[in-house]
Amino acid sequence: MFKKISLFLLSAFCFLLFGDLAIAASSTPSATATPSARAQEILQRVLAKSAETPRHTFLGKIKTLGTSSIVIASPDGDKTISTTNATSFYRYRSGNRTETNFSNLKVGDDLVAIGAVDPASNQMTAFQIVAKVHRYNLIGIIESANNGIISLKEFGGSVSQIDLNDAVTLKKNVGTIFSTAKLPDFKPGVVAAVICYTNPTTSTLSSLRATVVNY
Amino acid sequence: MQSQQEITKIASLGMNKEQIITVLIGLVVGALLVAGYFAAKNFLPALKPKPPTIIVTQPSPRQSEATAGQTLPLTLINLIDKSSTKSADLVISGQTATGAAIFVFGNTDEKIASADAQGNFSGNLKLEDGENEITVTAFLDGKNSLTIRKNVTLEINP
Repeated sequence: MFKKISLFLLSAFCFLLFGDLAIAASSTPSATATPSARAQEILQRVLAKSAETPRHTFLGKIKTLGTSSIVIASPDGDKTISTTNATSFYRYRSGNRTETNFSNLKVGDDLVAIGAVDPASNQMTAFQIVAKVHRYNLIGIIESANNGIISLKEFGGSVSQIDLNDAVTLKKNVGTIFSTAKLPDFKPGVVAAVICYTNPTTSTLSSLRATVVNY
Repeated sequence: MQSQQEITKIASLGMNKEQIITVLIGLVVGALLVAGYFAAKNFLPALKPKPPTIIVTQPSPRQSEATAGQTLPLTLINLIDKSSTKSADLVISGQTATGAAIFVFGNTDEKIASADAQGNFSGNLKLEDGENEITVTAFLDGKNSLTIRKNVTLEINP
């Protein structure tokens, strides 16, 4: 009797085992995949999953520097960024990118950090940090213009004084085509878009690019 | 005929009729269990593995406030403020008034798009490494929209 029960259980177990394996294989697209192909498929899934993970950015001006951490003043308040041996550092200046390191960062540098944020502490562990002078992107109506310095009233209402004299590019559009513009084109009443930065020596806004908007 | 031969063959290996019947019953029970498992897996939603839920937090967009005479609507699709991307080509699309001209300015590139009959528009903007501040404003017949401002960071691919 014991032998019969054992034989019965063994048969049922074998059928269950092979039946489930068959179902598992048929339910995946790689039913005929080799073990290495299967491993490759799993790796691709993991990579795709990690690519989907939302990445956060913190941007602002460096307030304090620790041994491996940075506190920045951002528009949303102070943010703490941790760096590790895996963090890559870059500096972007005049259109050129150079690799740098933590020790070359300075208080006052504008930076953007990309990484994962701990929801409990709101601190970021950065995998990439780019130090670059922040550029303001302003669009509005020119209220006054004097010797290349314009007063631009944004559509939001704020007014900025911007020096256009050092602008590398001045443009205007006709329809959807852009062409070269000159300083006299930036006159009161016209709409202008200006890419500018805070000049560290004069603490005023200096334009890199400015465009007269015709519509 | 063939199965009878197989049974005969098994019997010749030393298994009697009762043992063969026991094995067959075991196989049938196993088949039923497998079929039951398969049916439950496919027809009961609670047993199906759920796809992973990805929560993307979207900070509130920074928009300029409206001033008198700014009446054009403007909405952007899928452009998240303070987000990062690996592609230097950023697609900017959205909806505004029919026939409006949409001016898009980035750190190093600018584009003008036209809204179609449904008010839809789309265009590509080149990004530079690191942070990019992007503004989008619609204009039509002396009117303009709010300016929508977004920060998008281009990840450096070493």
